[in-house]
Amino acid sequence: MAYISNKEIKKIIKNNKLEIKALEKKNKAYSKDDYITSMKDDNNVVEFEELKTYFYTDNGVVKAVNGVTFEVPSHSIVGIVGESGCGKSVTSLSLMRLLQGPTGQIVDGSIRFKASDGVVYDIAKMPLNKMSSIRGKDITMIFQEPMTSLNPVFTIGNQLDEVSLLHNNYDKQQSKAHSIEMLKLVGIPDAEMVYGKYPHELSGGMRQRVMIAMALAAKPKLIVADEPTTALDVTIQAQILDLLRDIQKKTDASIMLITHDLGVIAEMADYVIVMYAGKIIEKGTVMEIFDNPLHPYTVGLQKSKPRIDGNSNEPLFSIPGNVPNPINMPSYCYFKNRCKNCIEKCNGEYPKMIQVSDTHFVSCYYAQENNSKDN
Amino acid sequence: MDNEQILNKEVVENNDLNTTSDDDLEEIVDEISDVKQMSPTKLVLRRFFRSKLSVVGLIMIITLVVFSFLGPYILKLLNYIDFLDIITIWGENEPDTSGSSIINESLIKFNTANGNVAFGYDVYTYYNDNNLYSGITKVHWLGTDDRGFDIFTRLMYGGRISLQISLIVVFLEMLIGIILGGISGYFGKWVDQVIMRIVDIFNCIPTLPILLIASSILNSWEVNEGNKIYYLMIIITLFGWSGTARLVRGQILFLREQEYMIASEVMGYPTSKKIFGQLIPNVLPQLIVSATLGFGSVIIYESTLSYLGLGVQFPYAAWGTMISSANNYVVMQNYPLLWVPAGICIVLAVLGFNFVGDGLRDAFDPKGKR
Amino acid sequence: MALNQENLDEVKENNQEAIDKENASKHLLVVSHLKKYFPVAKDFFGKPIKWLRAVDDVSFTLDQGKTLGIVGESGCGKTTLGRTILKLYDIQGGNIYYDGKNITNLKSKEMIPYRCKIQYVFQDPYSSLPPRLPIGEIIAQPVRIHNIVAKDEVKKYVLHIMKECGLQPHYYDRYPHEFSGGQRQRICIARSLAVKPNLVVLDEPVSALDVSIQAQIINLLKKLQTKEGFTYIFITHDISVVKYISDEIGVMYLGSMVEKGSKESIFANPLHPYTNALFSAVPVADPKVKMNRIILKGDIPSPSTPPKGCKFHTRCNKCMDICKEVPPCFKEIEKGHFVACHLYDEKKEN
Repeated sequence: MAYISNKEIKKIIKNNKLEIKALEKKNKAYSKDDYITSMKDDNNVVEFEELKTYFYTDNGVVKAVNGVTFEVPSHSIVGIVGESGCGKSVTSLSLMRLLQGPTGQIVDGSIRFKASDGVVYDIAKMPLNKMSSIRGKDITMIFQEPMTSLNPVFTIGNQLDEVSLLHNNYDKQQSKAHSIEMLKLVGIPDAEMVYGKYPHELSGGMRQRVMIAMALAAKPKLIVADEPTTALDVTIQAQILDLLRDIQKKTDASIMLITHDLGVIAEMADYVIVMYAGKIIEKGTVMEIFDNPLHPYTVGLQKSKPRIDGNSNEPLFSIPGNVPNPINMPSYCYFKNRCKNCIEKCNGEYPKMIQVSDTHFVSCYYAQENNSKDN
Repeated sequence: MDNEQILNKEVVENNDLNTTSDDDLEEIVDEISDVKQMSPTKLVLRRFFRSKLSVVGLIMIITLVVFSFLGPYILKLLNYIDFLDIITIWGENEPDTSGSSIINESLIKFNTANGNVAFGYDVYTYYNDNNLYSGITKVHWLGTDDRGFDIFTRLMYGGRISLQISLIVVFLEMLIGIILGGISGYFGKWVDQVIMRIVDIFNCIPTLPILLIASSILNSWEVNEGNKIYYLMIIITLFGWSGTARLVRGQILFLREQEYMIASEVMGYPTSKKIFGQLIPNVLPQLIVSATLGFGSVIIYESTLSYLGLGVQFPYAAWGTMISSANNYVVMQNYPLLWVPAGICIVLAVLGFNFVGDGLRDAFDPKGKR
Repeated sequence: MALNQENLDEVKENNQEAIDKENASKHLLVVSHLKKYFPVAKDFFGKPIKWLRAVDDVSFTLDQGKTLGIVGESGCGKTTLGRTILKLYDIQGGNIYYDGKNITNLKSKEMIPYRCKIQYVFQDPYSSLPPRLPIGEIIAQPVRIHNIVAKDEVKKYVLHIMKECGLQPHYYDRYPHEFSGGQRQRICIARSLAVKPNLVVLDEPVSALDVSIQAQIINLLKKLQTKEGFTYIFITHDISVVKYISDEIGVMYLGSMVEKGSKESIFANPLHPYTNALFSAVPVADPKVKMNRIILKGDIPSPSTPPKGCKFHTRCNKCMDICKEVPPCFKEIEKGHFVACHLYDEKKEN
């Protein structure tokens, strides 16, 4: 049957306890030499290398992020796209070290981040209390739900000032001026009035603007935007996307844009990372991904969304089946069961990332074979 | 191994389907065969037993139930194989007639023959047919009370009555609460208004004065002691159902807005099916929690009432009645055995039910992951 | 004078009824001047003093076997419209004709035969399935209640429906929580289709699903429509999906329908400024395509205090003086293409 027996549960829990204990011990043992490193490429803001984030649940170990390697170059927008449960949000939570302990743990790998003080930290190995100097200052976050991510009992001004007071070392006068400047920057008319308002007095679009203003207030180097427009209406989404693009040009921050909407990615991102079941299956510049998608999943994802400028009479392409269960992943390619281009090799171990061009990488045997034929 | 077999079976089934329908194959992909989850009941039980407090509470309750309902029988059984000769069977209303003498000393002032004032002890010895205020002995494990009854035995019988009362009262409260709360929440409008105002009235009656009045009325009517217990149940139910009714109404108002309830409206389900098939099963978890917590409060209520003379009275035993024997300072100071064991039983029962109730609440809460 | 005015109103009303009746004989569904207001504030005696006009004077017709797509942003009243057509709410004004009969004032008992003719599929496949019933029972219950098939054939029939909707037969005894969103939506669709409906109101059936699953569900709906000839009302905020699935499209804004027409005409020639902005705001999954984007200023006003005159005038880039005072009529500009906008008043006069 589909249910776990008591014996299995006991085994899983015992195993989880042991592993979590070992991990926590390992994390405590990291010293300063471990978490201060250097970047591979100085032009990058953040580099993920073989990041593995697991959740030790009672049903088994969920490998939410399973060996993810990519980098965010400075002054760019990197889009992470994938379906629910593909690990795109967990990647950003690992970067912020906001995982729910003790179930969620960074197991392996490193996240190298160049902070504004010039030191390169490995966030994956840093002690949590050191993290607070980076979080909210050098890396800020815009959440999906503008309704719940602002504190309802404080005014907008209060919450914005807090950021400047904490991270910019401003006095009260300065931070008020800075806050109003930020509100103007995100296109809020009569910023002085909004400064004194409470969140519930603003509409969803306005709140998301305030969230963006808060994210910008500390002059971050990297903004993580986790589905920033999913909860908004189409016309408001257009406004916010416009604003984000504008902001990215005006400030020197990079944006890590996490979304499931390929349309948003196509419009916003410079680089695209496609994730599936905890792994990156394809990454490249936005032109490479949309013009020359190599992985069958990327192709399917693009074809299965009806296009507003497209022809609508032919049946919609659909990827059969469902996203696999994250517990007990197979050793072969995770997409194999849903893939139409399976070849003999796909039964083997999980395909390695291969480089197609300077910036384009793909992890698929079929694409690999096709590509080598073309060359 | 198992999974593979299932998968193979699926493939066969798929093929069967494919021969009958033309283009469905790509859509039919089995998702369950490799998903392993806990069943909902198992999940609730696991969450419940994970919390140590709720397990402790459960043990406390089970111990008390076994003690009061099976205790006398267990003692009788043990009596047959009693090597050490320590078990003596006492009935609920069976005084120890071995007789006793109580020596009472008091300091008195008296005038001596030569006119001086002197202090001395006045020593009385009371003799009684029954063995009163016996300490802990082999015959009476917890001594005897002011009438010569065995306290240990009366604890067992008292527990029986206390637990029975709480069971019946909670059942009645639930019944009235579900019916009135259900009607009020489901039909709304003026029905809701009327019922909720009644609930409000019951909520704002000051309980204690009413109980005292009821107690004196019952005494003046000279109601049979045996029947007093039923009056007691009715009174506690009257003051307890309103909470349940509110809970059920609130839950139903919440559930009515759930999409599956609107869906059943769209399907044209008859009203009875909507209420009993859909609403009540979804209110049950909350009801179970509230009932469990209710047990504890009813036991306290019952003890209070018994102490005030409204509840179970002599010759019947109840924990509250047993405590009420400590209504003068002599007993309070000199004979703690009369009231401490009963007090401990009440504390254990109330704590136990509260622990279990809290544990159940956490276990039923779908958001509680840990 | 006052009497005359009253008489005029009466005549107008009678006329309207006659027109509706004539319409009703031609179309499967006729919705005429439908109004649904929710009370937002009440006085001391419980009498409502302020209304939220969720559906404000909406009219349209729908033919057998066609799909009407209704698009709009959150708070525009599209879900309320769908639910009002099913008579899940009381109606404040207007009429609904289904298959030539006026169903507006039917009591809930008289509605029961229509319940299996008009069905509803919800947005959230997680909350619209009762959590404590197995799948087979969820689908079989309405079949039994409405006596769709003989009692001993219910299980066979349910299995047949499940297969139609792409569900494995051994799911029959499983519970909803064991399924993913896509499968749950299939179950919801199966439950709705099992009572052999004619008209199905689909309320954002794919919005809660992943892109690759969305395509599966849309294909399933299309397949079922060609096979069984269902009529759909497809409510969504996703313009690309609506373009794919609909024959006709209605655009709603703050409780009113601002434009309605066949898919071809509405996409080739969007008349209302809001439709224009809405269509241009949709991000296209192709970095080479640069849309000529019209970015609307400001936010959607609250539906409980809609602006005077044309409801859209606060955000409109072609706003004229008349828009701030007089609400526009819903007029037929081309054949089958209706729009409510003052921009087209003059054209007709000229």
